Amino acid sequence: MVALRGLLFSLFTLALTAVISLLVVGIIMLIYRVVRRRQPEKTEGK
Amino acid sequence: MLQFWQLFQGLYTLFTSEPKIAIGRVVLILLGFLLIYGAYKKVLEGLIMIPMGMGMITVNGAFLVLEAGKYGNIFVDPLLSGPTALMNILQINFLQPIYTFAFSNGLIACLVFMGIGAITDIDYLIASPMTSMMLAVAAEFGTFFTFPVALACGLNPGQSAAVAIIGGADGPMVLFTSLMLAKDLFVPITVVGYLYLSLTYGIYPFLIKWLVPKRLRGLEMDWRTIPRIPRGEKLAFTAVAAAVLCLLFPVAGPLYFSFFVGVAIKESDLPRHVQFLSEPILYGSTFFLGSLLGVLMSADIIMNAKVLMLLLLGLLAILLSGLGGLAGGFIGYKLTKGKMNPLIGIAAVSCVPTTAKIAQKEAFLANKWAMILPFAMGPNVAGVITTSIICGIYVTGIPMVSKLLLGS
Repeated sequence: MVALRGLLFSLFTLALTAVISLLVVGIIMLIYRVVRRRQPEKTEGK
Repeated sequence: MLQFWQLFQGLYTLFTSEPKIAIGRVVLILLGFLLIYGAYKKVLEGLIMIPMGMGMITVNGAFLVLEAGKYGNIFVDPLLSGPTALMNILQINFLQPIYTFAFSNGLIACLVFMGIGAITDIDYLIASPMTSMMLAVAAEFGTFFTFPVALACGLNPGQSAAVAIIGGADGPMVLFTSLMLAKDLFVPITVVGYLYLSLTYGIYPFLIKWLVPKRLRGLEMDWRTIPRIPRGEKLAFTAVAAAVLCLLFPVAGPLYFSFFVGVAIKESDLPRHVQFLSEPILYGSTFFLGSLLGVLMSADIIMNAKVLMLLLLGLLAILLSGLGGLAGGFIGYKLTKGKMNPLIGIAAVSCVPTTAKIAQKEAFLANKWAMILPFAMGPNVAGVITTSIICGIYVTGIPMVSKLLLGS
């Protein structure tokens, strides 16, 4: 029974880790967009 | 005659202590020799194993009679508590200052992490974040599934989490989690953890050769396809990721700060700071870490009934994570229609940069044109991030659900 509860907690940890990993992926994508969007402006400035 | 033997206290204590301790000392001395030999033969990581092996040999040799006829050593006493006892022993045990002021509070783990951050390349992680992060989640298989096994073996939730995180293959995380959740087993869990992290050099190549056909091991990937990521983008990611992860898991804040400050220094083009972190800080703390782990392998400390169980659970964690990583690599290979070398999956087990180097070495042995290291570094770094996330969940969540898990 203890092991089963532990397994459930592990599955919860797995799901939460996957969600937060997706959040990290989202941050990377967002920064990518912001940085890339600013780059053409710089080129125009030159 | 007895008094003459008392001159040589290492031998005297060996023959007069209880058999369990005496046999333990001899076995640990022999194990020390084995670690040094393994490091010399490049099967084990020399940077940790040479000082660790030397520490084990000397500390188990140098037992002497202390106050009140008690046997011990004058290297370090990790079990002391209370300021008066600690202040007294700081003047006697020569490694006690490093243990008390840098090891038992996790500082040394953070210093190692700063150095690792300063040598870590995050280009592929930024270029291909989804692949890197998902491979890293797969390579945490050992961390997730050792936890219920450890609970079933009778460990409490904190101890189970501390031993399970060995599957994340990040020494500083093992140190940190056991410090926060299993202080009573802090020494054996940390020693077992670092032992297995070093053994990845010996274990994973066999796992790879056994499970991955040579044709796939030598699969070439064109590293020129990895786009050049501007420093500003990498720096922005580092700062934002550190902020978000700290907001989510403040308890792992010291680790996040240490790792991301190393990466930020590297990406800020500060060569002298990078050199400072990646050489004296990283090598110095790794050396003292290895030395302290060695002297903590003293028979009177390590001869704990739970050590054998910890050894088996640690092995299970590191093996399952390796299998999970390879499974992730195979899925990636199928999803990319054969463009991704499955060995990249095992690099996601983290242990920066060891597993990435193992993946590259095995790919090179199968095909001397296979250059997968730049790709392997993405999941390798992602592995650090996922392990730190799990560390945060465990350290924050286990005390909350401990009673629920035990059904009381």
